[in-house]
Amino acid sequence: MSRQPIAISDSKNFYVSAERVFDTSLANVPVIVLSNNDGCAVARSDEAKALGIKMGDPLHLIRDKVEAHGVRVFSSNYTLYADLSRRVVDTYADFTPHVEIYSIDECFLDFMGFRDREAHARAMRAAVRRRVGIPIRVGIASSKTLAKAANELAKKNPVFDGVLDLMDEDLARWLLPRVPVGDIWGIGRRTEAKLKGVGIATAAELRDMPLRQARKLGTVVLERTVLELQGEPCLSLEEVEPQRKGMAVTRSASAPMTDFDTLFQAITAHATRAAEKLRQHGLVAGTLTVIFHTNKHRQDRPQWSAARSTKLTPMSSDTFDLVDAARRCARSGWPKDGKPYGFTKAGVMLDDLLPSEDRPRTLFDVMRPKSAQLMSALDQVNDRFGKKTLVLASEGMKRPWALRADHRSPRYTTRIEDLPVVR
Amino acid sequence: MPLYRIDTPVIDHGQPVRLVSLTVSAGFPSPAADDLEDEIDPIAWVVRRPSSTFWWRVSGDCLWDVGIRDGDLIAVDRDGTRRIGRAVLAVVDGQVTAKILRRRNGRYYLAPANAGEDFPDVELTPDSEVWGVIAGVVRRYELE
Repeated sequence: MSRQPIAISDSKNFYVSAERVFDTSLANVPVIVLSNNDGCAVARSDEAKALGIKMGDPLHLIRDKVEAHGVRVFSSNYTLYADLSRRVVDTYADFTPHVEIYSIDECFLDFMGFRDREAHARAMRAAVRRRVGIPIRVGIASSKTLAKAANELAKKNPVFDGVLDLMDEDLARWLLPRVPVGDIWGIGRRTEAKLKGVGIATAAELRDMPLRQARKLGTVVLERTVLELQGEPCLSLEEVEPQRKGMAVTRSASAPMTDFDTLFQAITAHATRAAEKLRQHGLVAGTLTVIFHTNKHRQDRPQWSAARSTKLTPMSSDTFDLVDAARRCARSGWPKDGKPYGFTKAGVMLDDLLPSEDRPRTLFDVMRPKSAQLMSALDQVNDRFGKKTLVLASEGMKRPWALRADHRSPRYTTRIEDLPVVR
Repeated sequence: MPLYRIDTPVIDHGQPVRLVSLTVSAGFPSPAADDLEDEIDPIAWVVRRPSSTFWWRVSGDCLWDVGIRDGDLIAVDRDGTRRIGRAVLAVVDGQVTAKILRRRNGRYYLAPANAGEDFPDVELTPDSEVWGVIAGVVRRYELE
């Protein structure tokens, strides 16, 4: 079996690092970035971590710390992060023939054929730092799971200076007994507990677990993880983007939605966005689900949670069809008891997706020749003049449910009025 | 034959069509048909490395002596080679400032680029990082 090196590269505290590229006053001070709707911390600088701020801490619970230590707080600025992420990936492409984007700040890279992999990774790391200003870490191994473990080790131990090549078997033999099994990619809390029950606490012990026992304890997924830890790649670099099976657009509302019209405005917006995504991927959907619920953490208030699905016949990616179906779902899920509910989350999910050209045709298709043209016009207008230029009136104009982003930094790289200023 | 400007990309089978063939007039094939080229894109000429180039807006006349005025847009290449005499963006005390890179007696300095303003040179220390090298400038004037 030939062992092919795979690298995983990720950005350190990516959202914070992105904010620091343009706002140089953020260097060496505690910085956190909040989730959608300014809910909780989703990225923390090392200084913020040192203050004890945890991933997922809600802002209102850490207000005291924020004020006492002058923590700089940002709303997430996905426009900026996506642009910087694209530049990072462009840089990777100069160092490997094959990049698989795993998330906004993680990529798997084909590292086959380089004589000195570590030097190559260091050159790549320096280039990303210089060109985009983002610090990255690189883990290299013969399987994705091992590469992830290498990356994790490089993250935790400054001695590796951001790059760890686990293709070196001696190094792997020495390091894996030191990695807690819960740190391994794909090992969740429940699996970790089960493994500890049979005396497996480290990555090395998991690697040496008999395959049959692994399958019995945690199905084929755990068996695959064991094989991966042995250096046998079971998760290959994906050559093509896997076909999407479903998609969802859900958002928390900034203020509780108390009447049907407000809720329906939010749902119209989510269905519109979902339809746009479908068309971007050339797909049609067969099933649409609407969900909405009240705040589960406020048990003192009346609670309601609804999920209603409907079939889309014919299968469709037409905004009007989706919004129409979503309205039927929302109506049917709306409480009839007249209690004062405040809905804090609403969403639209689509399932049963097919490439548009494979969809079953129905008799009524012929009656709708205008639909495709209309949707294409809608997408082009919104593409050219900005998102939400053309919307269905049922989305409303005020959008009281829209996201809160009180501390968002400027969209430095994508809006001319937001350009950074040098004095 | 009337000519129409094409302001938006023409999409065919999902692919942008770069060269749009001219309508052939009967009897007289267009003599220009073989010489069609893309329109000049000066921004692409300025931005030689898109992944490392970022745009900034200039406030004030700190770069007057190198021909950059208040309100100009400048392209800054983070990966540009730091050479003596080049205009750079530098980070001094956490602030981004535009300066000229100078060397005197073996030491590196950030010098102001405006003889009309009397600022001292700042010595380049490990703490004062060069953010990038200015790659070009874009300015526009009022039309109305």
